[in-house]
Amino acid sequence: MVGEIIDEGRSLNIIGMGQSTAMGVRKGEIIDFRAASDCTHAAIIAAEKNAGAIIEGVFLAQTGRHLQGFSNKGSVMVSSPDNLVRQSDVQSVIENAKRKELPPRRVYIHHVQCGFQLDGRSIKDPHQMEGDELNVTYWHIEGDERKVSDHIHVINGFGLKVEDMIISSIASGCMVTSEEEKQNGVLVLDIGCSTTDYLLYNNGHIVRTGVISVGGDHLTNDLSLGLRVNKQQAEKLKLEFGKAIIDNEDKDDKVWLFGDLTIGDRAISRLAIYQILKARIDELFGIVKKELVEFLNPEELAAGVILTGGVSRLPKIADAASLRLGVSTRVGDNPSWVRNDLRKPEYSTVLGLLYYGLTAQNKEDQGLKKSGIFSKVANIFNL
Amino acid sequence: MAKIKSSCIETRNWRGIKQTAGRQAVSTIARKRKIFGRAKMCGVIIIILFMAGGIAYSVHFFRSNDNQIILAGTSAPVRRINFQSNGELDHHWFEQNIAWPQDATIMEVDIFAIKQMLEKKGQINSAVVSRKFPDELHIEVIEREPVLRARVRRNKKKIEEVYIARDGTVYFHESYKITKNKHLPYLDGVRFKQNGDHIFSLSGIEIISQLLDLAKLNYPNIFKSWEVVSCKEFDELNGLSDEFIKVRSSIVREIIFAPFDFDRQLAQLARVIKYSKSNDIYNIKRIDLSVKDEVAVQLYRDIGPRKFRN
Repeated sequence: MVGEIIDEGRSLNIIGMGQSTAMGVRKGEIIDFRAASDCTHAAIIAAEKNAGAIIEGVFLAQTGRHLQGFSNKGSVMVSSPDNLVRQSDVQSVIENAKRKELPPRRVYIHHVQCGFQLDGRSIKDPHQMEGDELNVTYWHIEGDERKVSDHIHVINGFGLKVEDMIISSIASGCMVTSEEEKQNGVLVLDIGCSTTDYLLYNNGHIVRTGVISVGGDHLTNDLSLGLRVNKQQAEKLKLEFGKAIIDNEDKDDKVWLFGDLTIGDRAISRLAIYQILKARIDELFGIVKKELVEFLNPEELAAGVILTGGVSRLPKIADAASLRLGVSTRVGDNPSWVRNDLRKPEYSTVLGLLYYGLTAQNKEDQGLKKSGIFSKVANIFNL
Repeated sequence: MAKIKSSCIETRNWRGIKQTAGRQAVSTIARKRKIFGRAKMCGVIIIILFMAGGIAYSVHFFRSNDNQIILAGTSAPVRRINFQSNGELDHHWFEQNIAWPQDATIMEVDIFAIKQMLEKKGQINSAVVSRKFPDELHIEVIEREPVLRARVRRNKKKIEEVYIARDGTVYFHESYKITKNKHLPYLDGVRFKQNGDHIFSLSGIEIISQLLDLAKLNYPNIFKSWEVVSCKEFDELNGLSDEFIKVRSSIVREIIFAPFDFDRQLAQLARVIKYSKSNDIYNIKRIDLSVKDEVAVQLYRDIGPRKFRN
């Protein structure tokens, strides 16, 4: 998706989009570099053509099982004699929280601030407040250096630079949740093609992120094996007839594989489709429950669970999640300011990336823009 | 949205990964795009260089030609007049008949006034007057060629010869030599309309000039004998219903032409004259060529001494 930042960085126009079938990637990790490069570059070219503009920089979403998160707390004693928190105290407590050595071949992707505490009190901004001990908690997300660099080098291969990197769950989470939900506690499950990214908000802060290596491809694969059809046919059955729970109303019905009575066309029981999908969906939510068991209660998740990503379009998936996780679940909506055809849940991550790009732009005051006479001349000629 | 920080404090941040593309990472599409981008950049550089070169050359050109332009701007007095004509008029005639300020500089001379003065002369069809810096006046005139002549009384005083050009213009000549037009036939049967020195143009002369040109080209001996062309009965000139062009020659008193198909009529005339000469017939009074496919020849009754002089 291509966005154009206008009004001196205050607003964003979505001006184009390009899509290409994913190849050379499994569970968010590159397994065939050339194939991944080819399909990514084809998508970029298509997006540039669609937008009628030259892409200047890339905000890259990152997912994969190699991403891991951990919490780290920094602590300092307030240094001033009058016990008022100064900028230097805040700076040193932040550095303290971030200064944790990683194992070899691991790199930080994000440091997410989870709020300050001054003498045990949760506060938003500690500046000029009185206290003895200042603490800050950070949720750190780190990943495998080689796998991250593979993703970056695919983009570099097109002659573009990765301006910033963002975790997929954070990108999609900021699109489908409101500030109130974040404050009350909400879990976002972005069920994508080959992975499910989760993001947990509480008290307005991100408290947990993670990646589960189960996604829509697993559903298709299960159908393919279970019903002895090829992957394209399984994908079609999933999209047209799939449901996440066994629906008693039409479970005895049969559906036709092709529907045109050609050779190879055969009737398939809906119940079989439902059973296969339900088994995998149950497994997925079971893993989620296992990973987040301490948060899955109405006190921690007052706003419930929000599903997004392509698989969230599977009928009755919210009911299945609600039953398995034991908290209210709904399918998330992208914001109303997005064009109707881009409001589908599979676009949550890219929309979140653009949103992140806009906020980063505001923050850096157009720092991403190249400066200098040669860049200006190049911009005139769209080079 | 929670606050997200991509800090650069630590060295082990993803931003520490070197953003370079290995050869394998560059897909065919990306390679093509890169080549196209470079070609585009080269094109832009070439255009900029050309523009810069053009500007530099223009500045250099105008600086180096500054003096020349100033010199051209200051004109010198006219020292030479280059008069050219396709006819009889010459430089001497120009000096005698056209008044122009002799001590004026080249820029002060009104070349349009000179052109008007020249073109007022009936003998001159068109004139081009131009300045050739620094001190020369270049004049080129195209004169009218007469096809007939006539005699009229100029300003109700003496009778003078006037010439009729192909386009019907009637004019008093400026400097024709006496011998030049001695074989030119006279025009008869036309009433000239005069306004002072100016005589109004005649219409229909184009047709007569076709006859005269053909005769002059193909039968020069016969043409030499033509003395008078009468248009008394030629519709174009007089508005009469009968359309005949009558020619009086030194050997036949009256030759009658219809105003079309002159080739045939002249051929018939030539044959009749040749026949009459070869048979010693010298008393031809009239040859009527206006009847199609037939020639009426009228002879004098007596074969007397007026053989060739009618």
